[in-house]
Amino acid sequence: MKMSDNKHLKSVIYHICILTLGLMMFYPVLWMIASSFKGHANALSPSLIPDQFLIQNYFQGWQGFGDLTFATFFKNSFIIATTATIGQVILSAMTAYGFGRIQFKGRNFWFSVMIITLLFPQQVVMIPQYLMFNQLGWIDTFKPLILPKFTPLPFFVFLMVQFVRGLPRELDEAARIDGCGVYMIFFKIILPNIKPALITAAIFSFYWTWQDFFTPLLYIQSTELYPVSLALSLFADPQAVTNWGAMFAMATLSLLPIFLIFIFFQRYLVEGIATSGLKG
Amino acid sequence: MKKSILVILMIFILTASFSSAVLAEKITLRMAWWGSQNRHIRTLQVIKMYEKLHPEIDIEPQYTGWTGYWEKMAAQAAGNRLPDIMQHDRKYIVQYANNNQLLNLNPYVDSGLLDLSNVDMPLGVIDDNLYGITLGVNAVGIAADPSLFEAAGVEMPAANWDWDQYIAAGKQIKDKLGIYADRTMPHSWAGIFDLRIWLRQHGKSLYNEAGTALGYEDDQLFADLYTRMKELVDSGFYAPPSLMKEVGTNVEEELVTNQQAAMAGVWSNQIVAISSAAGKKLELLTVPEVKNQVKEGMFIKQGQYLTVTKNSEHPAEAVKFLNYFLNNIEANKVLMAERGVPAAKPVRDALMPLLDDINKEQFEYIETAAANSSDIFPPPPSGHMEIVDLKQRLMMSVMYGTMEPLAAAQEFRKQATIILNKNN
Amino acid sequence: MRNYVNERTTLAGYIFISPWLFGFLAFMLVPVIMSLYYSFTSYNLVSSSVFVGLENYKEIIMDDPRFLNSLKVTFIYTFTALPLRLGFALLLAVLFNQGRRFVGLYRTLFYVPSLIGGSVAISVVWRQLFGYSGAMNDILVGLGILKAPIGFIGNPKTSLWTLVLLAAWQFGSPMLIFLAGLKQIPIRLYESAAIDGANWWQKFFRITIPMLTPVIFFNVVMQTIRLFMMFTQAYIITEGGPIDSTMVYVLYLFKQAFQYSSMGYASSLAWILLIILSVITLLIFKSSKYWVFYEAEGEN
Repeated sequence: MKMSDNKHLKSVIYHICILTLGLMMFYPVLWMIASSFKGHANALSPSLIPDQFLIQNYFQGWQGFGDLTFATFFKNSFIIATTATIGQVILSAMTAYGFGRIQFKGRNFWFSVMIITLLFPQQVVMIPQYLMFNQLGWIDTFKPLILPKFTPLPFFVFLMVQFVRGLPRELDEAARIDGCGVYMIFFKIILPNIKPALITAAIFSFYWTWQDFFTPLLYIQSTELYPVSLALSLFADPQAVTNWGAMFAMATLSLLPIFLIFIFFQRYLVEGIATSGLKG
Repeated sequence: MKKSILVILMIFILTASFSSAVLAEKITLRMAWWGSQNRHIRTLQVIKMYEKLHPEIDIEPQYTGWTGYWEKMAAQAAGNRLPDIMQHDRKYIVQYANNNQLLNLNPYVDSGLLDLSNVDMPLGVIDDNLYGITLGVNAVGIAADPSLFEAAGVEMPAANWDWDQYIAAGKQIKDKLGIYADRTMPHSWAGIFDLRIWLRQHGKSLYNEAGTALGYEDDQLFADLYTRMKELVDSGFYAPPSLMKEVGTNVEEELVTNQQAAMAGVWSNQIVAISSAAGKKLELLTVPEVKNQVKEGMFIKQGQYLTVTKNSEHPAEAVKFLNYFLNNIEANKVLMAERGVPAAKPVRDALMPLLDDINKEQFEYIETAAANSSDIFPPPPSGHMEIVDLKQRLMMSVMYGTMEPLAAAQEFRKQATIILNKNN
Repeated sequence: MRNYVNERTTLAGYIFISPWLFGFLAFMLVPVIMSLYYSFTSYNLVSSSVFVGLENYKEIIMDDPRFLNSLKVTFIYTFTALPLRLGFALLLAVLFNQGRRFVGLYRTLFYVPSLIGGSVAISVVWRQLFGYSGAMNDILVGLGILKAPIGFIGNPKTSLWTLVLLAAWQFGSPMLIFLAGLKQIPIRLYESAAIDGANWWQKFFRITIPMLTPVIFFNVVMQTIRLFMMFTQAYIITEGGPIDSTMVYVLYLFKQAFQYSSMGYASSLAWILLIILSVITLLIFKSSKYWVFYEAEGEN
């Protein structure tokens, strides 16, 4: 009896601690959501309770700019983020398997090269890249936003390599005895077993692309091709009154897909870990 | 490996050339501007009106906020892909003109395609070449809250008030109401106009004629200006430096909008935004003069230009659209002086009866300001942006008390000279 | 048996890494070589570039006080934000690695800051939070810690710390990675430790931390690089100011490139950054053999 009381108390303390911490962490987010319902005069007040509940901030914001509504911007973001994510995750896994499991000449060399690319600031590769894409006629299309993102990110490859290396080699050996070649091992053994890494990579990849601001800023010229991140920036202009309510409304809405996808994948993440047999 | 790369490259090149081969029938003009929602809606409507009048023209808009606009244009310039029509700012127009990216519009004025006969405000002329038409003119000024002046028992100042009167009025407001007179010295934020005006009032200029060196010799001038500012900061006349920074360039966060200060340095067209943020009509005042000044420090500035770039394949069509923007009364009734007071007199006259109180204030102020201004300085030389940053850093060091004003003045001269030498 | 290399595996290896190899050649190597060339030139993006040799490098190292300042700021930022971020991440990962109710929900909620930390909206929120009339001042003044409100963003002594705090707040990614790592630690290790009578702290330091070292290593490398290249927040929230107190390296580089149109100078800055980062990373890698423990290798 005593022991379970103790356990109960511990659990209550645990949840209280987490929730207090959580509230502190969450204040900025809650503030943003609250502000999306506030009237203009109070939009920037620190209060978490809106002075009025203005749903029309959302309708106003959704109207977008000129004759373009946020439906267009969301559609654009979805196309870009989904394609980029699918390509990125699959190709990263392939590369990670190549680096993590297969012994080949030049492996260490190329792996170091990949790590070095991690160190190069994107801001400078941008201009030569721009000149190149301009030559290819890619400006003002989604190509420069998607195709370079098909290049496996060192971050993901590194993460997946760590996972691949963590897998017991006996799995491969067993599969090899069953007659699998290197390619079959990739599909049959590696992919299913690094699912948590794949999902983690997919989540990252999706929201990085979704939130990317500078690439579309440089490459997208027509407003009808704007992704949400860029469209949001249209709200703020130092020369005029920013409609804070509408901006926060759209900002909140822009985070919703990321949030939903995260929750959705979250389930798979847990499931993936539970069923992969990695627990021990 | 090599083969597959080749194949993929081929596919890319094929798709690329295919997508640029369509759309030959209509003439497409790309037009870029920065601005707010209000400007986007008005400009897009004018574009629609124009397309209706000229069905053969298709104008493809590229609109953004100010943030990122120039980075984007720099990238497009590097790729020789500037839009046909580009909204421009005084800060950048020389750089673009010197780099041979803007079309000289003189021939189109001569041929009558661009009608300047009714324009009585300065246009975008550099070395006698017309590079842009002005969409609206602005003047430096101060937005003031009349009710706060009244509450403190201060009379609204006359158009030619001087710094002593300014300080006296501000002190009285500060003492009576316990608020700041202003957030910061007028136009000392995000620009170098405070120093420019001060130097002009003393008969000097920031740069020499050629833009190759500083245009004043006496560092004491620089030191005096910021010594006074520092004293006013310390006495609570201006807001403390960290609060200055917080508001930054955001007009609607100016302290005057919530009665924490009685004044704010603004451009005349910003009176609309700042009044709307304050929830009441603010009034425009001139920037104070120096007693017995050598010349007027204030100036009228072309708000924004529309330019035609050298990358345009249909320059004549682009110029026609510029002309429409400049002279067409219906179009300007839609634009409603959102970019500043229109440069063409008939347009101004037509808009006058339609204006609301706040816009009227702007129009009237331009007249007052013009009477109290001298000719504007030449557009800034390359390296100017770096010099603006430099002044800002040194000014803030003085305000935080980490640097003496005279030392800052000398440092400014030293660094600015290096920057100008590097760029010219 | 383990280390056999032959033609067939070499081909397979290259086939598997070909997506990266292609992307690397097309989207990285060519632009990087171009930028190396530009680093020896004076190039304003529009007129053609002029070869100036080592002039840019000389100027950066000999007489550019803003370069030195930006290095200092970046080092302070990186090496204060790194332990904070990873500490938070590990703490929460351990808390959420327990079979309690709602952990799934908590984990999701605590990840949210990282999901949105880079957005423009959060930058605006941050400005308000640390502004004169923001919640931070309300709280600190209310508790009597401060006598009068401070403009945290506008004060050169505090502005960098608001960015450090924002960085620490985005602990979500390393937290998830720590969690994934924790799940991989075999339960039998804890079970046998429990039989030996180890308490929670002993288990944490003797099992959890050592087993987690590859993941810690991974996070340290990744986050150091990410923090070193921080750009967006400084660009949007503080614009590098006041008095360059938040002028981090990449922002300075960006300013030179796009605002002052000194593309050549900026390219040189980029190459210096590359060298600095390489050295830091190399040091972390070199140190790894003293503290990182790979199970798979250990068994062989």
